[in-house]
Amino acid sequence: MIDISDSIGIHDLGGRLQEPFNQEEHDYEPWEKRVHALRELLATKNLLRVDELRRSVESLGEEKYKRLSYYEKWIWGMSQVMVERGVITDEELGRRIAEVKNRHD
Amino acid sequence: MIESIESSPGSTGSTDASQDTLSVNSPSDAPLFNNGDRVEVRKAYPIGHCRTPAYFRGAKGIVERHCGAFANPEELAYGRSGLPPVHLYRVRARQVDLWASYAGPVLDTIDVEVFEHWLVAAPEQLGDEATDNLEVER
Repeated sequence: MIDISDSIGIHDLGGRLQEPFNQEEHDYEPWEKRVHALRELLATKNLLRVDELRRSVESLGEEKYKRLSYYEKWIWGMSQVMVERGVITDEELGRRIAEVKNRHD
Repeated sequence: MIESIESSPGSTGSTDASQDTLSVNSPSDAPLFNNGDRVEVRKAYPIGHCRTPAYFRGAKGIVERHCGAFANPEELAYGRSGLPPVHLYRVRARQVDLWASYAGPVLDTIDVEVFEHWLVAAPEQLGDEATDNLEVER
């Protein structure tokens, strides 16, 4: 049976007890900066709204949401919206991922 | 592109934030709430994206200010226009009413920005502690 708690997303953390987290400043990895830059680029081209990215990240599900880092979640969320919008296809994305993977394996 | 400067429909000439919104896409209606109005946040749990924090649903408070009108993020989240813009309000509530184990002063408040469709007018009630002592500029 569906109940209210099913609609409160895992992202909606306000007021929930949490474990302490590391509050130290840290630098971003180059790949994280590229992800951020890509989001900005997509926004300037009107291909991605911040609200779409938020919705996409919020829909990742509890397991992924907890396991992935901030920018890893962005990658998933952005890819999802790009496929939804038809900017890329699942097939193109999968093919490209395989190509890059092969270069590095 | 700004095509014309127009005041919001039904405006009374007071200088509130909505008159600063220069846009051809004005909100359909004048703001429902005024500063100081008692409001309650709806206890809704919709599917999809929304900006009302779960902890604030059901909260009783007062309108601290009208923030302006904005395209609805719940619609923008799915690639829709979110127009006409929806009025946004900053709602002030007491912390003791939100958190069961709140140990801070009774006067502590929190301000949360909530879209108009999430708010209902809360009737004036004598002895309604939740909103009696909240103060805002009217």
